[in-house]
Amino acid sequence: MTGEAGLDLEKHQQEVLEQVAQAPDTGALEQLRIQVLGRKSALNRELSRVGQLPPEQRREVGRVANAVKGAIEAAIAERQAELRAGGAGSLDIAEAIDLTFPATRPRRGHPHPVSLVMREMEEIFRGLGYDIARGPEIETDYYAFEALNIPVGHPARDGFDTFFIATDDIEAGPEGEGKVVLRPHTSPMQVRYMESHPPPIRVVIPGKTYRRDNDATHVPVFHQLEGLLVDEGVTVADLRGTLEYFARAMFGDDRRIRLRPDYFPFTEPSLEVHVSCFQCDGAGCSLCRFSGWIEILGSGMVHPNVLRFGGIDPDRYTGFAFGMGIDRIAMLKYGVEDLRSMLDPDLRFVRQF
Amino acid sequence: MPIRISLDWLQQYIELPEPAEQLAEALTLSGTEVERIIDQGVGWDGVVVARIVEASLVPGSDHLQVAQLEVGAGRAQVVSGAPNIRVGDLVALAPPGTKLPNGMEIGERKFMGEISQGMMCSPIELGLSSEADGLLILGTDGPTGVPLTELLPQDRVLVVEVTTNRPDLLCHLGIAREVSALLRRPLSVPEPKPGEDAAVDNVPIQIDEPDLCARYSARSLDSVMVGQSPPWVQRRLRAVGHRPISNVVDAANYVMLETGQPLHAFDRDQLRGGIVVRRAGAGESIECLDGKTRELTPEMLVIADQEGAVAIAGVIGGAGRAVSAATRRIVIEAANFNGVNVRATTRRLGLRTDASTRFEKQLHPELVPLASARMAQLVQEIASGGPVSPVAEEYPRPVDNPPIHCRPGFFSDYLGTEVGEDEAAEDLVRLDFDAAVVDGGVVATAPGFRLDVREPVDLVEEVGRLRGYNSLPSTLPGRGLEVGRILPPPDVEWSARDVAMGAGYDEVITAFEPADSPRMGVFPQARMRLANPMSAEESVMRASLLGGLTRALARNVALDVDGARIFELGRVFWPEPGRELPVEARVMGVAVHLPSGSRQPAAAAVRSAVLEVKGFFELLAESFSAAVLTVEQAVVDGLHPGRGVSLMLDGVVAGCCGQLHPDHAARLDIGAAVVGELNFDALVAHPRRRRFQPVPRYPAVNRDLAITVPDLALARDVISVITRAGGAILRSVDLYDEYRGAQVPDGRKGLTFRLVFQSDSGTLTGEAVAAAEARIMKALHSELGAEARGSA
Repeated sequence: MTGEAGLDLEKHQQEVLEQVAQAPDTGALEQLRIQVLGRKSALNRELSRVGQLPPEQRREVGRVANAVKGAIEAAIAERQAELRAGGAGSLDIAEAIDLTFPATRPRRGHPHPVSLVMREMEEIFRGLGYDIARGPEIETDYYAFEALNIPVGHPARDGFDTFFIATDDIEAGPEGEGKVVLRPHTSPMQVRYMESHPPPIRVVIPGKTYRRDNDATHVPVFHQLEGLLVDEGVTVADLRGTLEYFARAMFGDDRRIRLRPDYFPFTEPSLEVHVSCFQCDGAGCSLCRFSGWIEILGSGMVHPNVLRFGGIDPDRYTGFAFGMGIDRIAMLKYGVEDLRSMLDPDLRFVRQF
Repeated sequence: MPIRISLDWLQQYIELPEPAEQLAEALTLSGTEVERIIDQGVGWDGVVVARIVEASLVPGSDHLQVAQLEVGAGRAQVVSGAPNIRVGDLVALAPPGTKLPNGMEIGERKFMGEISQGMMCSPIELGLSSEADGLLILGTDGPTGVPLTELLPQDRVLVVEVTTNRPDLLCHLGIAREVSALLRRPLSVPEPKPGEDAAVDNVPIQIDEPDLCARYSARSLDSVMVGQSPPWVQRRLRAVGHRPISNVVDAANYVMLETGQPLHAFDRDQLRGGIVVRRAGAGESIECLDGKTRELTPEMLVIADQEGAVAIAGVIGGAGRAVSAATRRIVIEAANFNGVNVRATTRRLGLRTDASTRFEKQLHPELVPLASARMAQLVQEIASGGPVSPVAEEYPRPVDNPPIHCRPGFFSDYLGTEVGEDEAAEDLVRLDFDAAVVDGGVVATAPGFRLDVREPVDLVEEVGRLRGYNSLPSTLPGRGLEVGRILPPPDVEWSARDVAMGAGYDEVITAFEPADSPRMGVFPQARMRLANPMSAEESVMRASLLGGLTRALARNVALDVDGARIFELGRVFWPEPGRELPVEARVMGVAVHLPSGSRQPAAAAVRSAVLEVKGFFELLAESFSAAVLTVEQAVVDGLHPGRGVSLMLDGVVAGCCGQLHPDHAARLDIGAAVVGELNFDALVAHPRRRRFQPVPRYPAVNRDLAITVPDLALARDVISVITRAGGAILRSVDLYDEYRGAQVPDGRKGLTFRLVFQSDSGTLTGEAVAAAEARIMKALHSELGAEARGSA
């Protein structure tokens, strides 16, 4: 169909569509769009002429011209999408940005390694249904020693290197009996927890502990995680299974554990737990001092006297308890060599975690 | 306490397995940890015995000494820095050309101009010890120039850590008993039968304090010849780290190391009258064997004769009645003392001895007869002692181990694996228990050298360690959670740490305060002090985190660590009058080091840093608390007096933040810093409750409000007036600009707010918003003297 004044719409459409298809980039396409659809374009002139046509032609010419315009617009849009989506030179090179620049990171602080390990331990035991409790860091002699079957004069007191709180009004004996102490272990919470929770008990108690000691493997402030489970029919095999589960969750699924009898006044039997060395897998290396095993915690079946101190009938209930040094396990896990690093606020240390 | 066990000595009682590592493993896994095995005499080729005959400081040195040594017929000069060089002592000399066990090759050297012809060895260099304690001293008597292996022949020595409940294992016979039970090998226990003669005069015994001395026995021997012990005694003592002294003293030590029972010998002719075991009198003192005179107190137990104390019971003998070269008649003491009392005495005196470390773990009184007889026999053998008197003994508190009854099935139920009663009884018999199955349950009595077995669970321990815990199955306790008992949700501590780290703070852990640390913050200022701190720097329990955090900042500034932003979530301690234990509160604290450059950063930089810290606490409160956090400009200890605020939770002071006081900053040499802390327990006391509020259905209208106010007007007051006057449709007030300058008159400042109006009941009309704006402006003007910007 041909408009009366001359523009062959069909031919025009074909020509323009070819040009559109060949437009090399979005800039050229935009120029082409202005040229073929703009106010001064041939198509626009043709469309503005429609109004002057006799009514019988007006309808038909208008329909065709609009169809052509629609087809051109569609083709331009399509070509534009094609160019934007695709290959080289599709967008103006001047818009290019060097994105190999170092990334801008959101500012984020770093956790202390002790926190990382403490949290991981809590999560492992929560998964086993343990409650999390925290006890006082400043403790009475009663909960720190007496109620744990360590009466005044007990030689096991020597191993604790206890800090005492200075008091003006309490006359302390040579053992500091009757004094207030900085808890040298998290075990005081065993009896405190038993006093307020009837069995069955499943709880872990993480927290700060204090001892008068300072070298590469002992610091005056450190952290422990205590565990306590009391119920009917709890066995040494249950203790073994629980701590094996923990060791594998903490140090890797293929770890094994070994139990070695030890002595703590508040458990009987008492067992030291070793995990197969996660560096050499038992072959022997400096980490495990060529033994293949690394000591990770102390444990045992709760001594009947401790259950009694906690108001629990040892003829009906048994239980196990364990305690481990969180800082030490963090050292092992992350390869830190000096325990004193844990107390040094040097951010070059913390920022590695 | 680690002790040394010579395998050469041990095999006198039991046939040992080869290699020693197997023995060590068996002992370790049964509860007696073998820390290491010393290879004595291995790799000592060329090392000889020498005597120090002269020693003096190397000219110009404050610790190097040049020693002249007698080496057989020859001489040698050696330079050494050891602290224990004493003329007359025998030492181990590695002459030039010697290669030591640790790989060290010895050559002739020169130190500060002095020739050194070899090296005097320490126990470390000879592989005898892992701890530095100066030269190996071999006593004073004996030939020189002979190989060291003549005094310390080849042997393997176990370093054994014995748990405090097993003092019976602090000796060779004790370890031999364990090995016998573990490896099922026969044991040969010495059965001493010293030649007795009732005619030998003994001393009478009297125990005044039966609670402190359960048993005391004495034997007397005449015609003793005090001198050197024979080589076999000396060798054994040396192998386990003891120095031979004289045959009588050596016999006492030897028997202690054999049986675990400490012994003492008095010179019979020096004793005045009988022996009395009594408390020390007030003001009493005694000159001890080590030459020191010690003041005694009535808490201490002494052995006394008519004239006074002759020994501190279980700790150390007195010099006055000691065996000497002139001694001809001796009294052998074998006694049992109260462990708690011995322990208290050693702590009061600050003196621990081989005897006291055994007694304080509470020995069994039944050890006494064997040890006493054994020593008498040994003195007869090595000190040509004559016949021994019958025993004079007091035993006012006999100890009989009672039978322990276990119910049927007890061992299986406790261990979690099948252990028959007859099996358990058999295990106990191997460990010298008297055990049998009665009515289906085990009844067992502990042997006469053990006090640590009292209850059925103690028997489980014995059976368990003998069978080995590593053959047990691994099970998990059967009953899990109960419907009736809910596991509480996890504590928000970890989430709070996440918020802090998300805000860019690194975590630190701090603890003690120095004795002279200044008051800081708004918390109670009373602090608890340690009675026995390790240093004055770490002697006070903190009542605020601010001190520790600022010292942590200072540490990083000193290390040139840029941009320190730190937090700690930890306990502080607030003592309360009349209460034994303090209140322990968890506190979240932060500290930020302001970019250095100038000591006095611009006020704007300080404000922006403080506002960021304040914003962190607001975020923390919003995240975890139903309480509303507000601030009050305040003078706070430790903060710049004009640049601090107290933080309040629902109107109650719960913390503070602001610029660190410049004096503190100067003292710590850290330029400028911003710090803050908030009582975390107070924050989470009313946990945030999440409740849905319908989202607005009608559009909001934003309006800017630009005003000027007098310079001293606080932003908080302006916001509070706007909020009140704006009414229900005013939904938020955002102060986003403060301006002083050309268009604002002196003494005033410009503030620009973004106000958001919105209604839940319909689209707001322009008139309604304009009315609210007018109310706000009017209130601001009348209450704070505010003017609209441009109109003032």
